[in-house]
Amino acid sequence: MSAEELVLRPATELSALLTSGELSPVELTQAFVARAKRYDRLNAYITLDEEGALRQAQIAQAEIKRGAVRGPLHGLPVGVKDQFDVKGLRTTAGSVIVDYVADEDATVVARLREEGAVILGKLNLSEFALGGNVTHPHGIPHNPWDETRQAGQSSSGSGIAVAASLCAAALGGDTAGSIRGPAAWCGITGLRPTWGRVSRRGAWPMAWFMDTIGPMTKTVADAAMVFEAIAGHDPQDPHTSTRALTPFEPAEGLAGLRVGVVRESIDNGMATPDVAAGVEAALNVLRDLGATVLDETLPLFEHGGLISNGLADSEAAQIHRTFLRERPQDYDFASRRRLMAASLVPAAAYVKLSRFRMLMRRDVMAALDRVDVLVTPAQAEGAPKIATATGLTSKEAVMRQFFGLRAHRGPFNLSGVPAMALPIGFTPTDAEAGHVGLPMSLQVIGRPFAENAVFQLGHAYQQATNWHERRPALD
Amino acid sequence: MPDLTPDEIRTQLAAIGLTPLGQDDLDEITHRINAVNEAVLALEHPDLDAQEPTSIFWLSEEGAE
Repeated sequence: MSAEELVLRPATELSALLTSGELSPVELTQAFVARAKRYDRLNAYITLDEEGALRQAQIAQAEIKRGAVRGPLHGLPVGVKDQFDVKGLRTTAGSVIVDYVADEDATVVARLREEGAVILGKLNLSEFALGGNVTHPHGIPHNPWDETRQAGQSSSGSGIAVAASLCAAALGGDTAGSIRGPAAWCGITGLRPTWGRVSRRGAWPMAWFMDTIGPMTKTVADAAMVFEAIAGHDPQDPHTSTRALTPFEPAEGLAGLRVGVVRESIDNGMATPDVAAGVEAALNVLRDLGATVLDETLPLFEHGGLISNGLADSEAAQIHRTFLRERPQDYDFASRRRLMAASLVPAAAYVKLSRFRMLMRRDVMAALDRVDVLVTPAQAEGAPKIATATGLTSKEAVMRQFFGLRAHRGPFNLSGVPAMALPIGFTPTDAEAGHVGLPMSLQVIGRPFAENAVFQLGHAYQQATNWHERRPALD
Repeated sequence: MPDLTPDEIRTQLAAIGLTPLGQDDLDEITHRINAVNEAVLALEHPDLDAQEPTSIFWLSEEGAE
């Protein structure tokens, strides 16, 4: 298989070839660099570190050659969302306001390096990882399945880079859906870990009690491999858990697994008919694999977007207060308006939302007592066209945009539980909308620290289907 | 609850040192904050007052806080 073909394969397959010495890290890195340059128009990367990556690959090659294999990521080219510091490279956080060369790695990056991963570069993102900006100072992220469409927010570059095979795996960040959203629209796998599983040190923050960092990959097995490399207690992030990590070992099928379908996430127009049908088809696969599929309920589900965005935006507004005062003109207009509005959220509203966060968590935990995992659509619809305006010309428009269909991921980041998006097919071809089918995605939610149950469902599903094997046709 | 007007929003922003860049900014900020206020006001739950807004879930179980 040529290097050009190899870049299309899952990271776990590449890992096996790299660590056995059958594949050269240098050749693989060169192939990813060449492809990233070739598809530069997608604007996946802010910084592509060709020289540094090749240097790292040469070191990895020498180490592997002498039998000093560090782990499954050794020699594997990985992209990092430009929300996280990488020593010697620019950090922009997707903005023009921040621009510095980091003198230290974020903990997640340091852990990738310890495992021998090759850091290919820094990936594009929504401004300050907020999501919702209309202008993009580092280039408009284009969805590789339809370049006129959004790639999702805020880990857009990570979603694009994995879907278009511009890196073997990527890191994303998820406060209120920023891994799961782009993973869903780009047709890849993305894990938001349990809050506290992965260190946030060296990452630009948004809302400290919801910020997480996780893998974005071609397959569930890939996600588990990267997750195990970056997870674990970090003394420099005191809110990381000390719980031991149990490596994921896939079992056959899903016999005995109880899967709860959150009906409020699908019924009453909360997902488009195409997505609802896609989820139902995925549930049939799970049943065939031996799972027991049950209806579940989260009565507050529809309020997930309001509670999540209300809290996260208020926290972000506080983080940005100095920039907002001193450099408002340097923000994207949508980000500026959003942060200024969030600066005025009354304390009484913040406290009320904080209490609703706990009520939401209580419901989620109760549901996870009745079943092993919950499922919902990861996105309510396929990727929309790239926006050129906010369209927020009334109070009602704000409510429609932020408090409705964006609810699907909010309940779970509010609850701090692990949640993963995985591809389950494509919307039908729509000539009028000008596309041949857009990725659809299932969100799988587990109990706290039960990432392995989430992986088990996803891995078994991917063993029985081939949606994760599809690649966008790029020319 | 009546909506806040753009002038009221401008005054509130000025009180915390923020200045919208033009009328379009001010109008959208006004829509955004009125939407949040109205939606939050409408949220009700019988257990609301009994629910303490804990920020961190797990670490107390590990003896780390």
